[in-house]
Amino acid sequence: MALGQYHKADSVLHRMDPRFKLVIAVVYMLVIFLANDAAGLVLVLAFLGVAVSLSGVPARLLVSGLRPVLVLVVFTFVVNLVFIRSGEPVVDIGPVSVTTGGLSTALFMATRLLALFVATALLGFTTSSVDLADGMEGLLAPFERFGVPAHELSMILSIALRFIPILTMEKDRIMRAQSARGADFETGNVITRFRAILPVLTPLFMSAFRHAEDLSTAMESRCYHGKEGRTRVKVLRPAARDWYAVAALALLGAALVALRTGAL
Amino acid sequence: MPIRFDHVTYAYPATRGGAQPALVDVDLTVADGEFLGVIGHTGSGKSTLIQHINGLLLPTTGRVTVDGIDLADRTARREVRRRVGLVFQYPEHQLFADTVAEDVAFGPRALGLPAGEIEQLVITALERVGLDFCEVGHRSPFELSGGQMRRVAIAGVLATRPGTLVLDEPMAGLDPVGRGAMRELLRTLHHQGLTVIMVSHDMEDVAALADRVLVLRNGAVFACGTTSDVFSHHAELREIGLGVPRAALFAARLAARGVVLHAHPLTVEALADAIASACTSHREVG
Ligand SMILES: Nc1ncnc2c1ncn2[C@@H]1O[C@H](COP(=O)(O)OP(=O)(O)O)[C@@H](O)[C@H]1O
Ligand SMILES: [Mg+2]
Repeated sequence: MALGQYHKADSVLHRMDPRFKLVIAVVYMLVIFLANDAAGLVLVLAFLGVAVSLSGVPARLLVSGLRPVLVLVVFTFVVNLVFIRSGEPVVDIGPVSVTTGGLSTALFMATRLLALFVATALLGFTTSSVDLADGMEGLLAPFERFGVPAHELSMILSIALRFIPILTMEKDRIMRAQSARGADFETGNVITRFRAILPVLTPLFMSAFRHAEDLSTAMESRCYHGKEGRTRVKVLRPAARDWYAVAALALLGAALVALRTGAL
Repeated sequence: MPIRFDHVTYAYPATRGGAQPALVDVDLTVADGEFLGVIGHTGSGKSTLIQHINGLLLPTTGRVTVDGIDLADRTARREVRRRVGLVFQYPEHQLFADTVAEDVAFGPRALGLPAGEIEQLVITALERVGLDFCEVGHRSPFELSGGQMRRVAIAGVLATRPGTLVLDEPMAGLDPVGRGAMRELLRTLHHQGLTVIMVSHDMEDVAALADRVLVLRNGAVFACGTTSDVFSHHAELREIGLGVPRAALFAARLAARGVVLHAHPLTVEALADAIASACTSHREVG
């Protein structure tokens, strides 16, 4: 969802080595699940808050990027609130009753989910598709000796990301063109709706093939022939900020483990 | 079927609240049987404007009516979609069916026209764009030439027998021969009584075809008037990055050197006539 909606800016997060960013994002998402009390949750959110404030991504943009998944967060909250029956009852209105256990679980689940989404969105906003692909290639490089085509995979990823907005636009265009001819995408049952997709899908595939052909011609005419002998404009080299980020994450992890085991 | 734009302003949802709207307070009337050319710089709102004519986009403020039907009304919109045929830019990219005949029949089917009439509608529509049903009807649209594919796409729009045809840059990407043929096709359709609204980059095409020209600039109406009137304002058009037809430019250069023609020629043919008659009268005077 957030991938491909890069926000151009010059922040610490933008300048970070994408390999580090990717690993840190993934590990952070796992670490979130170590938090099982209020203090842990606060730490998790604080870490994220610092990252957001360092990212140079306007809050408005972040919120609008998260709007589609907010439904899921609210849904999670409500379901947990209503169905978890442990603890003392807090509110009791007719058939709906809320218990302390339900309230805390709901808060936990919703917050964790939100943190997951914010972290993903942040990664997408601060990492261009080129950087993302470079990062992935860098991370996969060690596995090349086992036959993993790291360069090809990352090239595929970056091209795919690049074409998401283009094909989305194309889809809108085709849908409008077919609506102008009387196609109806808004009403009808499942079957009629499914049939309505065909006049969109065929032209969309044609256009994807057209783009693919153009792109491969363009790449070949610039002598692209895969990884062999290819040098980079931007060589990935970890800087101090990358190690600071790792240290911060390690601290967070240690604190959460300590909280869990009762050492704090 | 008069088309009315009543103080229409439109902002795309993505830019709402922020940037300048794509259309700003557009007021416009297109009369029955008219050929209106729409010109303007890239991003001036031409494509946005024409998508209002059949309700694909609805004004943020203001009103669009076709034949008195307000497009804000959802049920009426379907009827308007039948009356107004909209041909997008590169319409050949919307073809999808296995055969040309199937593709042209898509519109009439989708609008629920009686099945018995559809074949006849398809035959007529193909004929109107200069294609023979027996020859191309059973073929895949994707094995035709680019120019033919575009004709098939236009036939697909004509198949519902609209009274108004709206085209977004119908000549884009055609070679000179295809261009000439498309011009001829549009002229014929217009003479058959269709109201035509054509967005174009090419001043020669507009000069050759349009009765009236609408000039857009940053989403607002910059000028609107008869073709010869609009193209007589060379300096203003140049200022907003638009040209004028070569014939008009030539006449203006002649005038600057003291040779005043008595007509405002817009096409090479008209220019030749005007120069010839100027020469004749010159000889008579001399
Ligand atoms: N789908 C869209 N979403 C947001 N803005 C758009 C969209 N389509 C066009 N615009 C903007 O609206 C303005 C007018 O565009 P358009 O009508 O396509 O101009 P034209 O056809 O004259 O080149 C431009 O500034 C363009 O960037
Ligand atoms: Mg356009």
